[in-house]
Amino acid sequence: MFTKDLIAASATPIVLSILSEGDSYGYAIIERVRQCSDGDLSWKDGMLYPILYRLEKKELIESYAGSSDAGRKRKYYRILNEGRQALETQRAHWRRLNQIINQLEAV
Amino acid sequence: MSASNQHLNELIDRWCEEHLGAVGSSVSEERLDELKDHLACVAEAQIEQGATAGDAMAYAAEQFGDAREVRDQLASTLPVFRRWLARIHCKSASVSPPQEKKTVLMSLVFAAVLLISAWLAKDSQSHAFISTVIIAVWVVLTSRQGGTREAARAEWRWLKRKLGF
Repeated sequence: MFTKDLIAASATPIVLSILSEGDSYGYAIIERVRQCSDGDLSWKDGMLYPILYRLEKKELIESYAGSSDAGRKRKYYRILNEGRQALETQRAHWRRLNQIINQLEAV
Repeated sequence: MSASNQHLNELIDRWCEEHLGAVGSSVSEERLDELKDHLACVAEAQIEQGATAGDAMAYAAEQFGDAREVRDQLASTLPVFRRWLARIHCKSASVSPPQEKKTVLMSLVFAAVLLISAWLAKDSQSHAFISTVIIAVWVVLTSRQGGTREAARAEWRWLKRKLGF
């Protein structure tokens, strides 16, 4: 439904938003994206990890080791204060963009 | 562990070997476990709905999509020397199959040229000059390849970071 560019541009604020709800891990993040977009945002699973690696490198999120119910090793992510600030900035940008588009539509 | 789970784990290991290559065996276990956990979660959800381990893994791989970006990101976390070694073995993340063939071919040509020049210049006073010219030509040729240029840039950035620039 959405273009590749739009999906890529919105990926960071979406991941940060999901982590701002609580700590999570790769598969659960993907599932949350599908759930809240009613399947409109069709992310390929492999797209998520480079985003997580980048956010971790930028110190917006951090990871810690955990395990699944089945005892499998699992990596969890948590948002950091810098990440929350970045999320607020991104949200403001998206709101402003939305405002501009609505304004132009009304003309 | 059930036979189905064991089979699924084998399929996941094989997928990692095929798609991550030398990078997969060089990155931290934690990173690799994370990808394996993801594939297992997707496949297990399919198995719960009645799929076989093979079909479930095929679905998980399809959902995962192109693994090259993940491989590139993982490769960039490797120390420079290990990344370089992975590149030499043509299994590096940033070297796509056509580039691998080109790199192997150029390596063979380079080795042949060095051997021939060594033989031709064995009695010459200018063998050091000839070797330098050949190496310079090689550097210029390889730097024209996209992957090599990107790797050089990444390594330059790494070096600058380490030196505190």
